[in-house]
Amino acid sequence: MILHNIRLAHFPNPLGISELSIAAGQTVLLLGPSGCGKSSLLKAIAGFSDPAEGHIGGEEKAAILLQNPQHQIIMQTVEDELLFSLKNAGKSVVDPGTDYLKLIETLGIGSLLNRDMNSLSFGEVQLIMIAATFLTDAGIYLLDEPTSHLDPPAIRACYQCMHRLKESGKTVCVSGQIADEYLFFDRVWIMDKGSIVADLPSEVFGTTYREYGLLTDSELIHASLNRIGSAK
Amino acid sequence: MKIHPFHYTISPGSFLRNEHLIDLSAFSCIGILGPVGSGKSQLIKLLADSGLRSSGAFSEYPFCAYLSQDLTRLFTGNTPSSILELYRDTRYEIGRHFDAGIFADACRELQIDELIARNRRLAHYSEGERQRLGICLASAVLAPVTILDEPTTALDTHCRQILFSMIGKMRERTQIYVISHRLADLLAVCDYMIRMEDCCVAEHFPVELIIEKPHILSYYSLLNGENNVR
Repeated sequence: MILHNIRLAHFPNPLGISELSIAAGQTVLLLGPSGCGKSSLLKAIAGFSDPAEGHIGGEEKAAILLQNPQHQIIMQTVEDELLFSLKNAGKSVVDPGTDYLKLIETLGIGSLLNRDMNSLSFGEVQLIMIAATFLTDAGIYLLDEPTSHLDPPAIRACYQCMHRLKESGKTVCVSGQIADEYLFFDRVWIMDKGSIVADLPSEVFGTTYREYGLLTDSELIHASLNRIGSAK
Repeated sequence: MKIHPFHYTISPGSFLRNEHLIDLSAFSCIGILGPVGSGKSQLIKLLADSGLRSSGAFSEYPFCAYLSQDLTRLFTGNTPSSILELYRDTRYEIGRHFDAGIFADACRELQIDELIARNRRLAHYSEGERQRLGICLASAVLAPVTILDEPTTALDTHCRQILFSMIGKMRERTQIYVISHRLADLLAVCDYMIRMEDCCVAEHFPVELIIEKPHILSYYSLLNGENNVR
């Protein structure tokens, strides 16, 4: 997938990189301040909205998880919601290559299958809709802050599932606010005011993120523990 | 404020429980942590939702300022001015507690004052912008208790730091309850912690004791655990 000379709608500046591409089987984490255009970029890639300028090349079908997963609930129960993605692709749980059972096991959502979608907590809805997105038959998966309401084991499980998609040649682009998550990705794009200000291999991001005004949660925890330890 | 031992039926076969007497009167910012679906928001609803007072979970039920987790549902279709009209309506309790000056200051601090002045429909806001507006509204409601349910999920590093500093000032006039999956947030602002597990209060402790809780510290280490894919 290639983004040619893109300028996102509602932003005065172009994306900044004239030909931005994501190779098949690559995972990208999109970071940046609130309102910088992360969601707009994902929606443009998905074809939900047209960019103000430029065009997006590539034939891959896109699956997108919106920032508020409640907006994408279609079915009454968790199981029906998950099966909807499969049926939509003309598949069943037993078809070869279908990740249904493994996905349920990895995300630890087996006990939720018979629950009504309306009875779930926000974090549980987020987990179910991540699973539903991953079950969609697509070439590129776009997830808008999918881990915002998840606990650390659920975040790890989500990225474990993402890794399986990557291994099968799928492309995944995820926006987020938790800089620590870079470790799960191949590349990091940093956005500001509608532009991509850096496109870095994750190893490079790990040593340079402070230059972009970012902090990791592990740093913040460490600082707080030092403060508490000193006070004691 | 105290939390009594209680056993509350959420739905048939689903319960929220506490077996401890938790005295929170000496603390100004209480963090509630625990896995997805462990009952954190349910616990706080027993305090904030006047229809659930029969649970007897809390020793008192003061008026609460409340920032919900689901910001989109609250705001879609409105503009900042229409929401402010509601918050200023003194026919309702929220209007009698709302301080427009504090709201304006909070908007400046969280850098959404210009956005609000443009008065676009909130459906066009980013989630982070909506969350900042929600925080400003909650912080301007002068209630004895302020509840912030996952207030940093869409905030960037800079805005999180501003929120921490705002909470530092707010706690002088209101007791704050913060629910979060981010231990860094809770350690930055809270002086007491309640950990939920399986819809039950598993433990509660002053924040200083966190360094004696390796199980919590390792749980909240993102790279801890065998299912790390890298």
